[in-house]
Amino acid sequence: MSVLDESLREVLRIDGARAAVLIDAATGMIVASAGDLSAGLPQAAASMADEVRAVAGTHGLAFAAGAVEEIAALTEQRCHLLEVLDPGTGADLLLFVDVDRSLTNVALAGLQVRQLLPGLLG
Amino acid sequence: MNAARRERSGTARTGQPVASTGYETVRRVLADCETKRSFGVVRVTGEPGGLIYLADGGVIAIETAGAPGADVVLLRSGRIRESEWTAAYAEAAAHGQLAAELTSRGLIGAAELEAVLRVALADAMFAVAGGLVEECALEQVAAHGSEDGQGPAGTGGEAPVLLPLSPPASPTWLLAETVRRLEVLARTPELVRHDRDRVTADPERPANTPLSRAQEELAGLANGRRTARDMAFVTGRGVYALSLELTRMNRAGLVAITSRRAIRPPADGTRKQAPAPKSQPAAEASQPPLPRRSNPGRQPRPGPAEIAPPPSSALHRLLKLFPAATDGDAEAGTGS
Amino acid sequence: MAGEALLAEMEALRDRVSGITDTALATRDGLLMKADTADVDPDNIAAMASAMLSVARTMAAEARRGSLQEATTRGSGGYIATYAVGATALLVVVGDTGLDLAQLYRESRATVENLRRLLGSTAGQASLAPAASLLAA
Repeated sequence: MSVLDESLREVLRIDGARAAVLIDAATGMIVASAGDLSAGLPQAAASMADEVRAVAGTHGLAFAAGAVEEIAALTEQRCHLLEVLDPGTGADLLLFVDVDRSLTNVALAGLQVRQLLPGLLG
Repeated sequence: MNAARRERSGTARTGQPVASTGYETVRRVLADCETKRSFGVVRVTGEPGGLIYLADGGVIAIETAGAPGADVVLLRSGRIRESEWTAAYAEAAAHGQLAAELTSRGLIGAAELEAVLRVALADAMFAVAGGLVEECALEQVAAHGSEDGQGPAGTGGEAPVLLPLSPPASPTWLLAETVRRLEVLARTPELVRHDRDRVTADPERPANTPLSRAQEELAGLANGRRTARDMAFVTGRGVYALSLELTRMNRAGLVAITSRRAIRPPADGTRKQAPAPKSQPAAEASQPPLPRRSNPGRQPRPGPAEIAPPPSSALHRLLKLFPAATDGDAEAGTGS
Repeated sequence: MAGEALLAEMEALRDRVSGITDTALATRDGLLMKADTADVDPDNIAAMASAMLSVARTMAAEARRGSLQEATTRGSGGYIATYAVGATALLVVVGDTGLDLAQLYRESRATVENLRRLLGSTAGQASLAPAASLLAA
């Protein structure tokens, strides 16, 4: 069995989590995924990698604010969290979590996701 | 693995075929192996070509001169120190147990190692199937595969794969990723192609352009001789990733494409002559003086502290962007 | 001019084979004739390659492994391969870890033969002044 896929399934245990995707930031490729995935996900994953780069270029470099750790996007139904694993090392993996807002809120979801991060790739 | 993956048709949105007929050959052979759950090695002849190792119809490793393997990625990126690697290797490599040894020594997590292997495999597949493909055939079928498909390749008698991906990756998934990348590159302007475009750091670059650490590293390596593929082997980063990064740097004026490799099929014994030297009138004027032994004692001198491009060749190449296309390619930036 | 033709052969080899970072052409006793290098000191590797080729040839004979084809050094960062070019010269090829030595051997046969031919017109010239003899060619 894939230990990586198992690890991503752990993320789905967070309240409201619908999907979890591991993305390689340098290429935009989906490395692993779990849960209920949309058809547009490959395109979205590549865009997310670009997003992190764009944010790093503005908020990170321009404001001397340090490495980007997390980006959160809220839509009517969903909360999308994009976590940078090992920020600042250039290790280049992103965890995207798709969360149902009717079941939780961004603060709780973010807290639970961040608690999982250190053990995710162990 | 991902239940939502679909087979891609290999055409870009415009309807123009992105993948070459060589790619189709690889796709066909691997699809066949996936159906038959083959064990063995698929040999791809071409440029770069490579060896695709299969277990139970899935890909466990790819060896190619066109992209760094997982071992190079782990070591050159500094993720695992060479001394620790060597110790684990000595203990386990001969038995095909290096992955288990690395994780049990706490050098890398099992999930992270699996992620690194998947990323390296995708890069290698991109280099092989996205490159020039002449022939592609399942070369060697193991006499018996392991029951659960988890064992290292080697049950047929060939050398075990150093870091097999377990469970194996679906060829369909890897090839879909290759097509995705080819589509991205096809619509990327001012593309720096990973296998053929050599770049030089622009000494005139705007002084107040902030470079990320990653970009600084690449600028330091851009000596007019290296392609993205060459830099990948030095840095442990992927060839596709570096192609994208160098393209961004090219657009920002941080590097320039100063020459290109002509990609030709490998030697078949009938091609005796090297092609005529490219006419470079500027070369005679700025060719370095004929070398002389300056240190008759033959003591090795300490290496240069940093890599500096030979000033004459870099300079004359900067003046000669885009020599006449000898390989029939379109201008860089208009397609792959 | 023979010097340009030699360099063109060496550059063509680097173009053809992924992973080659530097090449150098030297006389059999280690005097540098032509260099296509950036990362390495061409004088030093030419001198060392001469010594390596000599020992390798003796070794191949001593171990009764036939005629010498290639003297190769493998490091954690790549390879150095040395080939005889005719009776009077040698070619050193330096490469990264992605270099495929089997491919290099195949692809370099034509190069070695072409270099041998190009140098053939200057065979017998004193090895003390290879630069001068190339200028005269």
